[in-house]
Amino acid sequence: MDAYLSTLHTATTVLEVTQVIQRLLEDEGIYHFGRVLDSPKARELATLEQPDVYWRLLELFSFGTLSEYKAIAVAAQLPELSERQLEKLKHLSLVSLASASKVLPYDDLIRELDCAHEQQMEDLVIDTIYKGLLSAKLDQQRRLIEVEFVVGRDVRREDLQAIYESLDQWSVLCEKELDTLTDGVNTAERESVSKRTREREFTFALQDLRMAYAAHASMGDDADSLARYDSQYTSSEYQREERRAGAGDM
Amino acid sequence: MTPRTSGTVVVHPLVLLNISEHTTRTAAQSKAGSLANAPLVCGALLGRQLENQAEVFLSFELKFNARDGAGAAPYELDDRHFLTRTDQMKQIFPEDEFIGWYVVASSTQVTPAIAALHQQIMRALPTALLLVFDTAFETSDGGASLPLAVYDTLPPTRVERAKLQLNFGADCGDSTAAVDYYVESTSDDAIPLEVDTVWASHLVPLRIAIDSGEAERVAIEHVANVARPTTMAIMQGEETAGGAGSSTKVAEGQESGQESGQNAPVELTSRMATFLSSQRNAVDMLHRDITVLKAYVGEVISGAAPFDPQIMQLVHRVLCNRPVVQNDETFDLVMMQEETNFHMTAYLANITTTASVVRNLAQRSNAALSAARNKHQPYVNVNREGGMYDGGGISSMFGGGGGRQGRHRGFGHFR
Repeated sequence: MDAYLSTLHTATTVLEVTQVIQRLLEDEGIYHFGRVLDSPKARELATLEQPDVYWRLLELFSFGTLSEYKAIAVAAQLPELSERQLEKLKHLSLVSLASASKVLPYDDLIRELDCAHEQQMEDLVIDTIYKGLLSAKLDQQRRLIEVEFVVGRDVRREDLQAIYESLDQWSVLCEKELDTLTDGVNTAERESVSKRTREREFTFALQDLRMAYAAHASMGDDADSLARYDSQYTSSEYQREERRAGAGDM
Repeated sequence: MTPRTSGTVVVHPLVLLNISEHTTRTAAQSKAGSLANAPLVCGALLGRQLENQAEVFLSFELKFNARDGAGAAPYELDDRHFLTRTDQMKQIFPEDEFIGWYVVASSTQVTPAIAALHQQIMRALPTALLLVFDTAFETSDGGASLPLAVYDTLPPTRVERAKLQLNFGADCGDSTAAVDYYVESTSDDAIPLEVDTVWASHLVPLRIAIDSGEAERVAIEHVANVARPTTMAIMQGEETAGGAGSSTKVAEGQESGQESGQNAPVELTSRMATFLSSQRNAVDMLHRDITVLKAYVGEVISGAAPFDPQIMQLVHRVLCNRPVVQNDETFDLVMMQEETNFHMTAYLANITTTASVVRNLAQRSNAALSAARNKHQPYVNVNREGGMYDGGGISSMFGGGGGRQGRHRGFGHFR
């Protein structure tokens, strides 16, 4: 990319600039042309009386898709694309589609990418994957492409606001999520605290009872003292009655 | 020699954590129980040293042997231990080397004892850094600055002997005065000087900066927020001291109604809370990164930052690659299967616990009843000895008396 930029810098005539752009579009390794678009020499092309076709082509490769090309090719008198350039444009169109949606049905792709049949479209997708522009899984049974990772297209200045808003929305979602999680944490801790409190209360109550018990153990009848808690009567008079009755039994 | 301008040392939080943990552990293990009488807490610092900046990544503990008889130098560095540890560390962290040592004291000043130890360290590394960790927090102004001081050792210069003594006698309470510390160098090939001057190295305080990598940030957050246990003190009408954590309001509500006599703070951690906290921390970090991106894009829009196509393209890429959950039948199916599995496992666990509790209850009540009645023995439980004779738990209440040939009157009324 730097080589192209420096060549562009030294170009003097429009023709030379055009040639550089032509080579750039042909280059197999370059899929993002943002820096070229920004360079002053290329911008000169845009300000010509009649916006130069190559500038339009460059813009198309940066932001547009195959369908757009087909739509305006005749009207704008865009130059013919070589094989490789066409293929590049197809790759880029695929990248656009993948950026928009995570699941791409086969039929849509076949239509958008101007392929004759499924096999051709799959080959195209696999090529894109090998080039590192895309990482996806092809689900032949359901005729889908599941996108995992995609390299995005270039960004226009006009898109900045949209990007900002997306980030904003995402940020708001995160904040809501954070609040939910914090609430969850607090609830969980509260529950845990109350549960342990109950357990401790119970243990203490038990110990108190035992101690109170031990105080009464001197009644001479050890086993009896436990009976107090197991008798069906809570009053001590009745319990004594019970005991007397029981003593009578045994 | 011209003194170097005050350089900076970058300390990683892991080092500080290690030091504080070492201190706490030593204090807990020593019989004195307080930091004043604890044995010497010190260790080595590992890191990298570039020309004006040192970076401390790691630390490990050093062993000092008490040496009898010596007045100002009661401790001696255990060389063998030191060399072994350094070698081991070198194997694991080949890029980090020994650049200094740390010591824990009650202020950030260099006392004669520390200076004596520093001399020994200087034998191994003439330009060692000295990090003094202040446990009394005297130097921290309201918690704004760290209770640390890092000193760099300059090459030795001629120093009047008087200066050596002078500054060590300085009042330790006055920590704001700029005191010059000098450590006498003990190299044998020192050129002999006049009576009043010695070769000494100047200890220059350095500026401290803290830096942390991504992984360290997550770990620090975890230690600070997640791992802190929620404590609840159960006291008789007293204020809790340990209401730390996010359940302070709950703790205060609970302890006001307590009447039991135990005064022990209870440590409570809920596993669910820990899990959710770690999730929250992760989302928090994501949120922070998003905020940074948003600020940058905002600046580009407003013109404060230049529009760089490369960077914007990368930002756009981030947005394109967000994971999305769509209405998909396959996904729904799998999700429901997993959910059902989890629910069933939890349910099963609950049922099993309930079943065992009921069984225990039935056994003990039957045993209590049958032992009391002595009439029929149909429900004699197998664990007569086990659950009923030992003192702990619910069982003692029901079966303790019954097991001892007790005369249990009436039906057991189980509350």
